[in-house]
Amino acid sequence: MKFTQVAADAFQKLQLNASVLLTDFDPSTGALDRTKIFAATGGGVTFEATPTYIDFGEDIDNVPNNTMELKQLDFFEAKMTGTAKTVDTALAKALVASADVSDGTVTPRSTLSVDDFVDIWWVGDYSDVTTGDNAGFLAIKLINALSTGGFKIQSNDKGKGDFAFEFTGHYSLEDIDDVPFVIYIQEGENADATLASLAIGSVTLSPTFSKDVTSYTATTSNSTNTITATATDSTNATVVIKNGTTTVTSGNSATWSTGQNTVTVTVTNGTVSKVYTVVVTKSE
Amino acid sequence: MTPEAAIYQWMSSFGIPAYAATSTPAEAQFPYITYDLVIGDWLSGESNMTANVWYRTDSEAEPNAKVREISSALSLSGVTLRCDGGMLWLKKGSPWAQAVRVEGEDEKVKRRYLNIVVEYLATD
Repeated sequence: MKFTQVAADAFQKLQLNASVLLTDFDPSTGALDRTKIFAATGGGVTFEATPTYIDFGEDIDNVPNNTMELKQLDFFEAKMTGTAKTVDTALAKALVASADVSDGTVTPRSTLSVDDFVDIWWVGDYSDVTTGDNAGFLAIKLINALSTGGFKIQSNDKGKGDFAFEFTGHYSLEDIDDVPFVIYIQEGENADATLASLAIGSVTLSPTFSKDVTSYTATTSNSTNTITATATDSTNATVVIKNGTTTVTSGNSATWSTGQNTVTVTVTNGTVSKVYTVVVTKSE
Repeated sequence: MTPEAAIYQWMSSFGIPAYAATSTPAEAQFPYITYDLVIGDWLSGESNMTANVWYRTDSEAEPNAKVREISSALSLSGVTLRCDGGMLWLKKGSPWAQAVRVEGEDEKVKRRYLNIVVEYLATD
């Protein structure tokens, strides 16, 4: 049906899995430091940023509500809620909000300190590339987060304890215009496992080499030829050349049998690999 | 690559042959993997797919190690496989793996029954 369609790139724009809560994250690298995991969560984590508006047209005669020129953003209420399944003193302190930690003891305070406000990151898998250095991610930085849900523990008979949490982001007088959350969306990129060049001596490959074409043929009357293959990402990719079952190092010679010889060149970059095949026919 | 080929390629990536259950040769040599292919599309949602790991050995450890290898590949969050029109998302089902006694075979034949959830995120 005409309007029951899915965009061709929809699979590259999906957020997958439950995400992870971190105390720090660098979206410029996308690197995950597992020591920064705040807590294991159950049932996913909800982030909501709800704007509050002022409508200056509300009390003006002959002006309807929701007139865009008269609407002004007042502030955002940014909250992160969920259930932690693990707890340590750091999380307990964060949940209590105003507390100090010493020797395994979390002691609540009756006054808030600026140090009680911390940044919390929500980071989840995104797009079709979800592994490796170039994995996609959707990250939300909740700025100056403070526990507004308090400390709650729900023990469960024959089950794990639940620690429900609610953190709210806060503005700062240091820059009152900075909204207390930022969203980062980075699509993943497959590692490059292509060849930049492939040559078998002076033998002509058919078709002419192109990194996107993986099957070639060639003919020769030589008993040997030098095979050279260079990965496009020569820093990270490995190249394995085989003449039949015999491994040939790039720049070295392969020995041909009369008839067809199958050369495979396997390029591996992280979890991505590509195999190029050249069938070399040696004449009598 | 078709979704079916992507699944076959992934199933074949564990160092032992893999066969669609409907195409398992009678002369298949242990060890090997068989799987019941599930075909779906974007609107199918999650579907359950089963796979079996077959060994003929005195050791329970060998098939268990292969199951752990497959489990590791699926990780906590599953694995995505590119295919024509999008990707497939394979995840562990529940229970993940069970040891099954094979009736009519000698006790050296070890079978591990795996539950895999597959989601077709492809638009072709």
